[in-house]
Amino acid sequence: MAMNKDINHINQPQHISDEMIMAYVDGEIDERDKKMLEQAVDKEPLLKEKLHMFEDTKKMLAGIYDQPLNQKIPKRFLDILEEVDKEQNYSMLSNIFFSLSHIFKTNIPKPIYVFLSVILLIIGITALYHYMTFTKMNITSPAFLLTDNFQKIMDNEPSRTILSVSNSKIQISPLLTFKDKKNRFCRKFRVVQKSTNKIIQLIGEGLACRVNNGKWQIIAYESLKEKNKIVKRNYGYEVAGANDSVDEIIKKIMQGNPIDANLEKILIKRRWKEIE
Amino acid sequence: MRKPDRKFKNELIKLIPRLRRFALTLTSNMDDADDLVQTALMKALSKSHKWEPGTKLDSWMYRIVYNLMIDQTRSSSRKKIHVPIDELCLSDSQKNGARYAEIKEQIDRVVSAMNRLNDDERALISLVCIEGMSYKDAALTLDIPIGTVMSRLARARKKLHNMVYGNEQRH
Repeated sequence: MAMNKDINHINQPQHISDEMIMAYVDGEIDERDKKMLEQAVDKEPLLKEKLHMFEDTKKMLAGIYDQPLNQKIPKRFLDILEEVDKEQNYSMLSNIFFSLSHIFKTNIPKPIYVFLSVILLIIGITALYHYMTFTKMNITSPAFLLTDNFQKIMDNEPSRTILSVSNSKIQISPLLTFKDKKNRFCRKFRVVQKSTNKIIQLIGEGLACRVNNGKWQIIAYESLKEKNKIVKRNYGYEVAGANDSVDEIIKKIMQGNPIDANLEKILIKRRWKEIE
Repeated sequence: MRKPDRKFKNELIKLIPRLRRFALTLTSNMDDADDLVQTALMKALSKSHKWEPGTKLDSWMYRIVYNLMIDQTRSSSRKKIHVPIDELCLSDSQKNGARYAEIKEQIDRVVSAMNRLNDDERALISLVCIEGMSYKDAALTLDIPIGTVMSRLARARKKLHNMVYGNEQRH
């Protein structure tokens, strides 16, 4: 479009500035000013030229610089952002040890932080696994009951036998074997402690039943704490009430009579496989 | 210092094409434009804690690009390299058409005129006429009053128009 030399020297009304004309073209003008401008442009054709001039500056630039919009984002930019991602993941792993280093004012290199973080993670997962195992078994009984020794004793020892276990101060003794109403083998047991002067003290008594995987699961446990005060803990056995003693629970769940010593011996030999 | 989160980075990725276009208008050269954008991205990532979520990320980024360009101009004599026409956005039909020479000449004139504007003027024309920013957003981006945006922009556009079409009058 040819430029009119006179465009800058037109008889432009004072209330109509170049900025207003430009704002009209760019849609940045309010309705009142818009109407006023349109009326002025109708009266003065050279104002229209100015309007076209501002419109032209937009049109002439359209598309000229659009090449980047039609290209794939260059890899160099994505690499920068990826580096930050890696850095962030890396530092998330090592954050705890960075904090520790501030506390202890050490100067441990980053790779060591990552290594220590991994170790901590493994420990955490192991602890979580054990915790989940405990909660699955619904047990909060003393630690000495959650050992392989307890399982071995329940599997192999006949009732009414006092035994030594690896922890020489704690002794677990099965007292009674029976079948419950779910057809599981169950055994009442007592936990005693030999004091330094060889006096046997009752620590607690409990009830364990043999579940599908062959493990003895503790159903109920009563521990004796603080000068003969009995602390009862039941482990979710549906028949037992919250305050039922072990004997009360046995009464509720036992099927028939307790298993006699001879049959018990056979069952132990057969690893608790029933005689058909 | 807050680390840049994934959302922030995704927003940056979306902005990259427009940032490259803005940088191209400022530098007239694709390589220089990409260097500018790369530096701007790195700066943005290191200063992501300064960006307030909820505010316009594009305005913030345009300002970083513009300020970096100003710093580079001050610290070195910037070569003004005319952008070769075939790097620009010409479609194949335009390149092969009868009007190719005419279009090419027009584009050449516009780009040459843009290069002759000063940095403020070129940035304003780029933000408003190319990036489609409002006057208010352009004012916030360049940290100048809205009145200044309007007066400078009007002046720049008149200048641009005169440079592109003024030659025709002389021929």
